Amino acid sequence: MTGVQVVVDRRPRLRRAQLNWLLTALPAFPLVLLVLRLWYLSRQDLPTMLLLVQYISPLGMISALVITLIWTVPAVVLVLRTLGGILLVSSADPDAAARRSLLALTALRMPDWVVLLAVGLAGFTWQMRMLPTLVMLVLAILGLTAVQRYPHERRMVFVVTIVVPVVVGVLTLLWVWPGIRAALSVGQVGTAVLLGVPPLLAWLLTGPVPPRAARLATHWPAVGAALVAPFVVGVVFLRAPVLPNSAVEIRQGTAPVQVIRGQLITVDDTTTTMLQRGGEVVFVPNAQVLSKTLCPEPVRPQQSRVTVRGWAVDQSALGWAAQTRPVTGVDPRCLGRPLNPR
Amino acid sequence: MGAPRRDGGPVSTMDDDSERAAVRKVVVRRPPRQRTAPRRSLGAREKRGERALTRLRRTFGRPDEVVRTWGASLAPWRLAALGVVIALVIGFSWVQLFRVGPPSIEDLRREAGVDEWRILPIGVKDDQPGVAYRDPRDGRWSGFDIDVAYMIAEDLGFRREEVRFFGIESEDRARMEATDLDGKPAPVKMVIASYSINKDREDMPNVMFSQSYLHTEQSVITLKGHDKVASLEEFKDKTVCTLSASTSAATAQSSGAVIMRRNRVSECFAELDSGRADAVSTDAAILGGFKALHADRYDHWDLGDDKTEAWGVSVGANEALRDLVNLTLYRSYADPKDSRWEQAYEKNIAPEAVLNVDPEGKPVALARPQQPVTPRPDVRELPWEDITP
Repeated sequence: MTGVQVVVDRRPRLRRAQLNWLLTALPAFPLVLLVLRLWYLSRQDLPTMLLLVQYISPLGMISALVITLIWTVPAVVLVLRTLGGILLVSSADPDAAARRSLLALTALRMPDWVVLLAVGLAGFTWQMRMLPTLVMLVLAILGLTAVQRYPHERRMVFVVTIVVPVVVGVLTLLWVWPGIRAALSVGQVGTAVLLGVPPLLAWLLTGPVPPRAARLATHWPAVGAALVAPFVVGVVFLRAPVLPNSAVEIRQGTAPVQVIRGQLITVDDTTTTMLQRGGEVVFVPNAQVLSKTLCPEPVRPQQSRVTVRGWAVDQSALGWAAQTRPVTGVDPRCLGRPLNPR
Repeated sequence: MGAPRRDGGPVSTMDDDSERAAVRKVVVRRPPRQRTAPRRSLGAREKRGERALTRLRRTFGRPDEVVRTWGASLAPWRLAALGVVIALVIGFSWVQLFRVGPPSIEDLRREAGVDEWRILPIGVKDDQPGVAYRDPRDGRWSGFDIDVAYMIAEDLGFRREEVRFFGIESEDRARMEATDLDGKPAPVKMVIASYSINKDREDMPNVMFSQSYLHTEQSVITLKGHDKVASLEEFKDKTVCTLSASTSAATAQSSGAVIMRRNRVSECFAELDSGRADAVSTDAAILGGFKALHADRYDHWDLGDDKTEAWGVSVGANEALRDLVNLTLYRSYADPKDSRWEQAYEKNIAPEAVLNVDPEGKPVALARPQQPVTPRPDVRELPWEDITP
């Protein structure tokens, strides 16, 4: 009797201590990311990095960070809620499960408005091809919440865990069907799977899994994801541009016009400072500069022409609704050639 | 053994045992204390409340087992579904993060080095009207190969002013070394010079062909008034001029004719005009241009040879450039809105085809009027591609 009580008393304290450390480390993570991004941009050259630090505004980098990584926030929240919910309803004693697993505890204590906010954010920032997955997660969370809170209202639980997911899944499938066909016809199997499979699986994620396998199927994948996530986020962010990609036409005396491509660090009253692709910094006297242009990103996101009822699968609702400047022709200067040959 | 029981060591142990046994016997398991107060002390009101509570508990407070069996028959399936989801997530993140799969156009451009070139030097023929011809008066280039070259250059991001054509002779095509107007060697990035794709050439180092952009066949031209020609065997012991290092030379060789090799097809026609050669034999698309220019001087004859000459673009050893060229050819082939190949054919070969009839009035086939079937290159994105459901 006493032994059990000791465990009950101690675990949360331990966990609270861990949580404190986590909360301490969390704000440091974006900072580390930003510094790492600069270090990567300067090709590990310290003087170059210091030059970049001197000129790059932290606000600009944070904007890049936010724009690049905003979609991960709802992903983390919704996945935590779903996996934790499954763990909670699968274990015989939810409180014991919450005591044993931080995942279950998070899911148990997560306020509903956080989930709602995450769903809204995801709906706006996730690419269209991820929306069936979002629908699946929302249905799963709905069903799990019903099982968790009103386990005795059998009819209601049946409706929410089986009927609603099946109906909504079928509707989603009907809606994305043209997109699946289009994706298959151009050989984009991945897109077709992303559009078609989640609506089929939603009704299976709304209830308990076998109690013995519950921890293995929810807790440990979450732990694995938590371990991998910093690296994934790091890789995603390292690819994000933080300086404008541009091309500058210069002419030295009577020499032919030359084009320097790279990232524009700064322009002051004497020179234009460019970071070239290889990590080399060039200072061009302003008198030699003939023209400048912004260049589109060299590695563009995959532009798939597969659409679902007119909505491109790689567009988010926000990107779809917001106005964009279509990149029609590539400026020859961005290809390293002068604007006016000869 | 039984007498000294009271004072020996063993006795003491026996005593201990007996004491323990005695203690064990003393332990009494008491039933757990009743939490509820004895009923007798309850009044009627409390009794009613108690009963209502019991009923409520019976209705709502089902034991855990009942709750947890909700949908238990589905539990293994749910587990499987969860497994599928996790596997899919891992798979997609892997693909997204490590860019598994075919290269994108940007990757190809970078690999080919296209972005670093300020001009695009291309080796072409310069003496084949209708295929690739440089007008010596004003230096203008024209012909089917030229239009195909412009098409490829456009997709590579080069404007017309940035494309440089250099005349290249047949024997120089494998080395990709053309000559400029001063006769100096000029290395080129690709060769589009009525270059037929065949196995022997592909085995040579520094020769790599794109998909073919034109299908033609071998034919023969004689001076007007020549007897009917149906095969090269009819020129046995006569002189047939052909291009050195060409596929037609090999065919002519096997026919038993005397072969005269020249580096330029215009030299062959000069030999024909002067009477030193009896015929000129090479690809029909090349000969068609000469026939169209001088319809009353030459007779153009179909040969009974079913070998297709498939012209391709040679890109040297630049594999990424080959993929980019293939992409352009595929685009022109598959995209219904892209009619650059058709326009090049209409402009250069179709007008000649009308004029190329043999003396009996039958048309001589110059080239297939459709672009050869081009398979989809293995590239990640094809942004122009229209979905045809």
